[in-house]
Amino acid sequence: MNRDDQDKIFSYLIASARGCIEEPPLYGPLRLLDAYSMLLGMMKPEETDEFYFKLDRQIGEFKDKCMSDEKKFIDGLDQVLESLTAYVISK
Amino acid sequence: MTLDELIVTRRSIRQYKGQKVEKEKLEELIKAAIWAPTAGNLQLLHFLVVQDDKALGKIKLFAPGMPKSAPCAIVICADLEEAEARGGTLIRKNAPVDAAFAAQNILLKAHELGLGTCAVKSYNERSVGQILKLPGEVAALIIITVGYYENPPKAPARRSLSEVTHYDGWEGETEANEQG
Repeated sequence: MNRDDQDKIFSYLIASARGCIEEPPLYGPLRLLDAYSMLLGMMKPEETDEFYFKLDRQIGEFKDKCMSDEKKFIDGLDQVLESLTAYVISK
Repeated sequence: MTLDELIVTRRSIRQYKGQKVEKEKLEELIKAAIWAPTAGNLQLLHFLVVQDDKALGKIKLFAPGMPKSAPCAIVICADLEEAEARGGTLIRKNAPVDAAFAAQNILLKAHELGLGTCAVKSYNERSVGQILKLPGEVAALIIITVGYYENPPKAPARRSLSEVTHYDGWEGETEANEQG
């Protein structure tokens, strides 16, 4: 992670922490998922498992439903967590 | 496009092409904003156009809700101290409403010009103020990202007229004409 990346992720996390106090409750999970994508984007492919990039694509499929279809957003999040759990167990 | 078409086909754009927006078009947007109504006709709003990559990048750092690919932003500001001196204490509540009226004009005008926009409120007002060197009590009331785009998102479903329309009080008849 270079210095520019550090600026991006650290400011994102702190600004989100402040913002989440007043924002819609579902923005909290949304910001965490965005932070996941940002952190992953800062890694070189050889630094992590391909699975995590696949998971990021899976997140991308429902992330924008956060404020328009709450059920789809939460179901998507549950499925991602299920995939992640299965992956960790399989290791 | 007719006004109705502009209203129903406008979308919040979160994926932009890198292309810069021409100054003439940005000024068209601000001209549209100037004609929005303002409380007490105070006309307090200022429009800060940010296209410089470095400044825009810094704003994005403190704006978690801001589309990261946006090549331009218009920050709608007001001097709340001046506002209060001219418009009384109520103006502190009215200024964000004025900014919203102006923002809607920008959103629709941009759509007419083939530009995408996204109105953003998820940003840290103090940090953005520091980055833009806003003096005294000048507040960044709303940020609008502007840029060219390729694939507009689908429209989320809208509530029906009957759900949201009330005649003669909250408990009144809610049956509305759903046609059109």
